Amino acid sequence: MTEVSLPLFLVFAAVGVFGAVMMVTRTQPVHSALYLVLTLFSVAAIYVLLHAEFLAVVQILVYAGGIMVLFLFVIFLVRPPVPGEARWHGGRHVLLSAGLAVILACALGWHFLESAPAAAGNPSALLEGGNMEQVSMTLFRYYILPFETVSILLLVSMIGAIALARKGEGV
Amino acid sequence: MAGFDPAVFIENLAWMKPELLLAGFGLLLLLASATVPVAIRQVGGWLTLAVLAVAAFLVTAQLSAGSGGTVASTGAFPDIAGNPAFVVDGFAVVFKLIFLLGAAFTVLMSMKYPDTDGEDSAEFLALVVFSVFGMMFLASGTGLITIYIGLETMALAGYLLVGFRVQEKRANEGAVKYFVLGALASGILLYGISLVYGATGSINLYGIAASLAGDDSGAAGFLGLGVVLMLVGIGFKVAAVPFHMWAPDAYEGATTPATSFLATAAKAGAFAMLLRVFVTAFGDRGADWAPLMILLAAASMTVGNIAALRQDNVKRMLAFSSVGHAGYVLMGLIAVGLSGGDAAIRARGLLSVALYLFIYTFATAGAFALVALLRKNGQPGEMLDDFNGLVKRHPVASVCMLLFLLSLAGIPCTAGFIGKWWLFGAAIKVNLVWLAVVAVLNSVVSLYYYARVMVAIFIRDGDGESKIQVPLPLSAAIGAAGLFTLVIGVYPQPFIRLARYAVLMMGA
Repeated sequence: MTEVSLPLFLVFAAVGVFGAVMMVTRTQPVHSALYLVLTLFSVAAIYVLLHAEFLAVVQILVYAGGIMVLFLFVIFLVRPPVPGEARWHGGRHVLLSAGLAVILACALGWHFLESAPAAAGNPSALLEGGNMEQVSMTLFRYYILPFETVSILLLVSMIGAIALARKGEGV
Repeated sequence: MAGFDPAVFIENLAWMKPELLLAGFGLLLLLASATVPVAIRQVGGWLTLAVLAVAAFLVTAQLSAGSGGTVASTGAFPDIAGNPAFVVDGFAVVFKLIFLLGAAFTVLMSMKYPDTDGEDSAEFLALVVFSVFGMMFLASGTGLITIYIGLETMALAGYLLVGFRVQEKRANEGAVKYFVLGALASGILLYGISLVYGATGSINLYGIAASLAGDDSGAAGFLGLGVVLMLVGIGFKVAAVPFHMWAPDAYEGATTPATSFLATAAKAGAFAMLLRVFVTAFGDRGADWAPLMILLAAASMTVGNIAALRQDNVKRMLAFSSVGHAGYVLMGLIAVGLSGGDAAIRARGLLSVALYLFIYTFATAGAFALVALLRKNGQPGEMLDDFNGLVKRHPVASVCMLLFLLSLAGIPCTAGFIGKWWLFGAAIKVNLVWLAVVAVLNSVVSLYYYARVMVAIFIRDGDGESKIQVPLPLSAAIGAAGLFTLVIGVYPQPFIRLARYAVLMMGA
């Protein structure tokens, strides 16, 4: 990471964490969803800083775009409870998740202070020949098997959705 | 960077004949059910059985495809470092046979009631076939991405099979619980995988092993966290305590053939993944993860068996009992982890897991076939009282049920005894006598609730109903399961020889 991008990274990371915290503490599901969009956008920005432009675009298109629209649809369909009804779930959940977060932060922080990440890759190798080309070469050459298998996975979910929906109609 | 070479691709695909067959058949089945629904309704089940048999043949052929009748341990689809993402070895072959066996029992059971639940509809059969397709990647996959996609294919089909009876409330509850917890487990698993990737720089099991062999200090905490999260994720899938909460509801809500599928094939699939990942990638660090597995194993057998004592619903009882059995099977994996490079102990651990899963599949599928048999007028006959006086209504099936229950409890002269003998022996070999003692005590506890079913069948009086007419496929399932349970009990050598192939795991 260059000198210029470090402050940018800090800004986006802070925005991302802010969005994530706001998302889990809001009682209105729609607000939570919108804060999630904020987090997803900041993660996309961090991808750009890491020279993973393709991933950044995919992140925005798929997560901030497609998946968030689905979330909002579901929220509108199931009619969220009015703010007064949604209760704060009490201290136990907060303690548990805070504890897990601290453990995770310690393990990650300790690791990165001790040694540089092993899987950081080489951004200059990504730059030659274009980002997208590199991604597709890797995907279609080395990960062709999982790529093809995903098609069966998606097919299964489609069949299942159709079978369940059709039965639900009582046909 | 070299381009894509079609010839190499085809060559690699040649190692995936069983998988290609299943995927192709699943697609054809769906197409056929849209064009000739009546014919598929009548012969779909038999067709599926035939294809499963051919797949079993293709899988077995891989066993001797190498020169001199040895196992052809071959890797396909290498990644950038040359590590394969898909391997065919003895381990994969044995586990694929277990999956196909479990699926065959499910198909036989689902052919019982042609019109009631739509259990024989093409979607049901196709989901079973696709689920087995996914499991094959759990047995053969050595890239974590490939394995994960296999796992999701298996699990998604499983959620759908549980929720297949849309009108049934319990099915909905079971399916939603299974789906939500399963999705959570997948998320935890993926988090673990990403941490392991960060610590080792590889997403391939062989790459991870090579990276770990290089340094032994390094990212210990980081890697450890990743491994623990992966264990939690896979623990959900094998329904080990404390990650078993979904199992009773899912087992109870699903139609009986689907329950049998979850308890046999899907469980074996999750165990195949657990073994492949922990032995191949983290095998050198066995002493580090074995204590966690010991906790899981001891908790699973104790909680599973004690919870089963109080169940009056036989399906729920078998669900808790299968949680307990997962605990027994983990002992084999613990022996592999603690073997410390001793090839004999490692072999014993792998062999005992494969052997036990075979034996457990026969007994569990058989027991669920009995539950399927008792269903009448669209009402499930899964309560303990439904078994009352069964011996007068169907003596042969009653004796078979006795065999299955004795086998699950591990009484000598049944297959279960042989399986437990090997598993408990494996634990003793690595000086875990206390764990073996816990397992034996739990087997004694389990005898109590299995005996409750036996008492209902042989001693209690039923409401004097007439004999039960058993459809051919169901009696074939019960007969085959009973026969094998007895034969393995008195003459286990051929099966031990088959399970011995599971020791042959391809090295890096």
